[in-house]
Amino acid sequence: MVMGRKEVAVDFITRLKDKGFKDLEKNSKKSIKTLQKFGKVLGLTFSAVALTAFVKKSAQQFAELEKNTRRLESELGQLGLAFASSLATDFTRSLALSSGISQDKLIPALQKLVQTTYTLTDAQKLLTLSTEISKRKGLELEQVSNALSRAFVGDYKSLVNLRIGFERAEVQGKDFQEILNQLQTEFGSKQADTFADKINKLAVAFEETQVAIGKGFVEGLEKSGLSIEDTQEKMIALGETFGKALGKAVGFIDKVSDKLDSLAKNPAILAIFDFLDRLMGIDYGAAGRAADAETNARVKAANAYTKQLETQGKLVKLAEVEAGLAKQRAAEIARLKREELKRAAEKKRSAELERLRNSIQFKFDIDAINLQAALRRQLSQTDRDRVLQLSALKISDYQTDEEAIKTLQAATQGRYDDAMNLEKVLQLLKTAGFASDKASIDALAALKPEIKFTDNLDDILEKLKKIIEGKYMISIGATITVPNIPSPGGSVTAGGVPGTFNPGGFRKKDEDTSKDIPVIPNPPAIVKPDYIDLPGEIGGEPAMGLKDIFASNAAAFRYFEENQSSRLRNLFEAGAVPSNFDVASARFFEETGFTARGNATPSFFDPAGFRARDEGVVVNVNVQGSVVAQNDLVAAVTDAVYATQRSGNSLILAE
Amino acid sequence: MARASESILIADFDKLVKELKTINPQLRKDFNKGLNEAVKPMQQLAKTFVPGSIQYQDRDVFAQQPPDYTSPAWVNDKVHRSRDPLRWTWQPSIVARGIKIRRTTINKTPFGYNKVAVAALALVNSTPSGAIYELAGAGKESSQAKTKSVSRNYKAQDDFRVFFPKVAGTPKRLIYKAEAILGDKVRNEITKVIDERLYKFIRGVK
Repeated sequence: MVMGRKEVAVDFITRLKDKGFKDLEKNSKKSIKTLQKFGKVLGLTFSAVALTAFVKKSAQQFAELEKNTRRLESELGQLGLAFASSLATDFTRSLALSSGISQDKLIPALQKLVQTTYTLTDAQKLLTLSTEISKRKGLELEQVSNALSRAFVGDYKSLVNLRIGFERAEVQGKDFQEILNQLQTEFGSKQADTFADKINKLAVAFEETQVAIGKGFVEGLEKSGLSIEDTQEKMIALGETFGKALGKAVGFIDKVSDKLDSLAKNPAILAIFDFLDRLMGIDYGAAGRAADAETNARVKAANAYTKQLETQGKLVKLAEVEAGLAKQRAAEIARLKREELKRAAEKKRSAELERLRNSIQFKFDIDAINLQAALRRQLSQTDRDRVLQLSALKISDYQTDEEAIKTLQAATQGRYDDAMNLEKVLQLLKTAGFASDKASIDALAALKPEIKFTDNLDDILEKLKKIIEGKYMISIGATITVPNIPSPGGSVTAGGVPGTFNPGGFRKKDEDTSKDIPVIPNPPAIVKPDYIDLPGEIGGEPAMGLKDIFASNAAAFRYFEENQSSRLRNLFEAGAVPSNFDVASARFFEETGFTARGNATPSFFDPAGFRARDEGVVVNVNVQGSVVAQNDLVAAVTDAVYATQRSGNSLILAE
Repeated sequence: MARASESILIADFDKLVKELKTINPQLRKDFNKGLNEAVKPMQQLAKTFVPGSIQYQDRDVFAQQPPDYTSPAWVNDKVHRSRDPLRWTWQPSIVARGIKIRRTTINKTPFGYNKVAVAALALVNSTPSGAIYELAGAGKESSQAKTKSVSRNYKAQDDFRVFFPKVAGTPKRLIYKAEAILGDKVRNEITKVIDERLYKFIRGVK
C-alpha cells in the first residue's frame, strides 16, 4: 500500500488551500454514492449514468463559473475595484437571466472589457450593448465584445468586420463616443424576446440552478453526509435538476412550470422535509411552517434592504474610483498618441534620409573617385557639384539624421554654404589626408567656427585671412624656431641663423666632395713618410678626379689568390693599398660618394637642431592683441597649418 | 501527529498576510516575527532533548556515518538499500538543526469539498533520523499491520515497537515531548500575538 508522505510536525496555525479540479472530480464520485442514498430516502430512483452526468456537469459548471469569476475579481482587484466584484457578478447574473446568454460567456467578456476600458461602468455598458448586438445579428458574444473593446481603443477594424452597418471609410477618424452613440441608437432599445430567446432564458435559469446545486448542495453533502442545512427551495431545485439529468426533455415552458409546481407541492417531498427537520431537532409542523414563512419574509426584506444600502455605498465608491481611473486612462492615451506621432516623425525622417542618400548615391561609383584628388583639382562646375555631393554624402555618415538631411538637401541643390561649414571641412581634411589625428580634428570641430566652405581649400584660406585681417598680428611660418646653428667660425650664442640660411643648400654643400669646401675644420695632422701616398693622393697632393682608384683589380686579386702574396701590399708601388687602408670606409665612399671625413661628425654639429630639421619644424603662431573670439584664433591656427602644409613640410600636431 | 484540533484555523491566512502587507509591510513583519517568537521556546526545548548518541550495550543503534554498501553482504543487494543514506545515521547537530519553525508543512487534511487544510505555522522535525527517533514504536499494532517492511531484518517491526522504546524511552521524544510541556503556553502566546498585534491594529484602523 502506498502511503502519503507525512511530516513530523506540530501545527499551531492552519490555513485552507484550494484543491484542484481533479480533487473536485474525485469528490464528485463520492457524491454520487451519497446522492443515490439520498434518492432512496426521497423515494426516487435514479440511474447511475444520469446521476454521474448530473454531478459531473454540476461540479464542472460550478468550477468553471468560479474560475471565471475569480479571473474577473482579479482583474477588478488590479484596477483597485475589488470591492465592486459583487456588483459585477450581480450584473452578469441579471444580464444572463435577461438576455439568455450564459454567465460562462458573459463573465470572460466583461473581464476583457474591463481590461480595455479600465472602468466597470463602461464595461457593463459595452457588455449590454454586445449582448444586444450578438442577439440581433446572430453573432458570437465573444466576437462582438472583442470588436467593441478594440474599438474603444481606436481600432475599428474588427467592428467593420462584424458587418453590422459600419464601413471603413465611415468610421475612419471618428471618435469612439460617436460610434457608441450610433450603436446605442440602433441597438440600445431592447427588442421583444423571440421564442428562441425565451428558451435560452430558461436554459440559463436551469444552468444557474445547476450551478447552485453544484455549489451548495454538493458542498453540503460532502461536508456532512446527509446534510439538511440547505433550504427547501434548494432541495426543490435539486429535484428539478434531477429531472433534467434523467433526460426528461424540457421543450416547453408549460411543462417545466408544471413540473416545478408539482415538485413544490409534492406531499411526499414535503413530508420528507418535515422528517429531515425533525432529524435536526426542529419541531416543524404546518403551523410552525407558516410562522417560519413570515419570519423568513421579514428576514428576506431586511436582507434586501441591507443589500440595497451596500450596493448604493459601493456604487458611490465605484464612481469615485472610476473617475480617477478615467483620468489615468486619458493621460495614458495622450502619452500613447504622443509616442505614436514621434514614431511617425522618426519614420518619415529616416525615409527622407534614405531617399536622399539613394538619389545621390546612384550617381557615383564611390570607390572609383578619389576624393583627395578631386578636392585639389581645378574642377568644372559639374564636377565640382559632384565632388560637393560626394563630400556631403561622406559627411552625412558622421551626422545625426536631421543634420544629414539638411546637408544632403543643400548638396543636391548646389548650396555650398549651407551644405558645409568648417566642421565638415575638417572632416574633409581628414578624408583628404591632411590630418591624421582624430583628437585634434575633434577639438577643432568642437569649437564650430562659423566659416563656410565655398570652393576649395584656397578659398577657405582666403576667407580665413579676411576674417582675421586687421584684428591680429599674425605671422604665419615666419618664426621658425630651430636651435641656434652657429655660422662658420661663430659661436652658438652669437645669434640665430642668418635670414639667408638655406638648410638644403647647406647640407648639399656639406656633402659635396667634388668641390673645394671652404668651411671645414682644420684637417688633422698626418704623420707619414713623404713617399707614402694616402688614398686619393698622388705624390702627397690630393688626387682630384681620381674616383676609380679603388676599382677592383681582377688580375691583382687572382695573383693574391695564387701566390698568397699581394702586390697591393707593396707600399712602394703607386696605387698599392697602404697598411692603414680601411676597407669599410672605402666601400662607404664607393657606395655613397661620401668621404670618410664626410661621414664623421663635425665638432659644431648640434643633434637637437639636426633632428628638428630632419623631423619637421615647429611653427609658432604669435598672436598679439586681445582674443575676442575663439573662432578667430582657430582661424589663425588653421591658416598657419595650411601654410605649413604648402611649404612641403609634414604637419605634426602636438599636444 | 499533533493535535490538529488544537491548531488555530485561519481560513484565509494567505489573504490576511497579503492584506497586512498592503496595509503596512512592517505590520506583516511584526506579525510574523511575533508568531515565530511564540514558538521559539518550544523549539529550543525540543533541541535539548536530542541525545548525543543512542547506544544499546555500548553499541550505536544508528551508524555514525552514512552507509556505503561496500561490504560483501550489501554489495549486490540494491533492494533493501535505504533511499536516504542519512536515515540511519545519527548526527545530533544535524538532527537539532532539523527542528525548525516552518510556515508550511506537506501534511494536508481534506476540508470541505474543494479545500485542504495545511499548516501555516508549525514546528517540524525535518530530518529522517530525527523523525525515526521521534516516533519509533509509537504506532499501534493496527497501523503496523498496514506497513510493509522493506528491511532485511525480519524482526525490524518488533525492534521498532519493542526494542527501540527500551533504548530511547517512550515515543514522542523530541518536538511532541516539548509540545506536551510547552504546547498550551505557545498556543496562548500565539493567540495573544493575533489578538494584540492584529486585532488591536484592525480595531485601531476602524
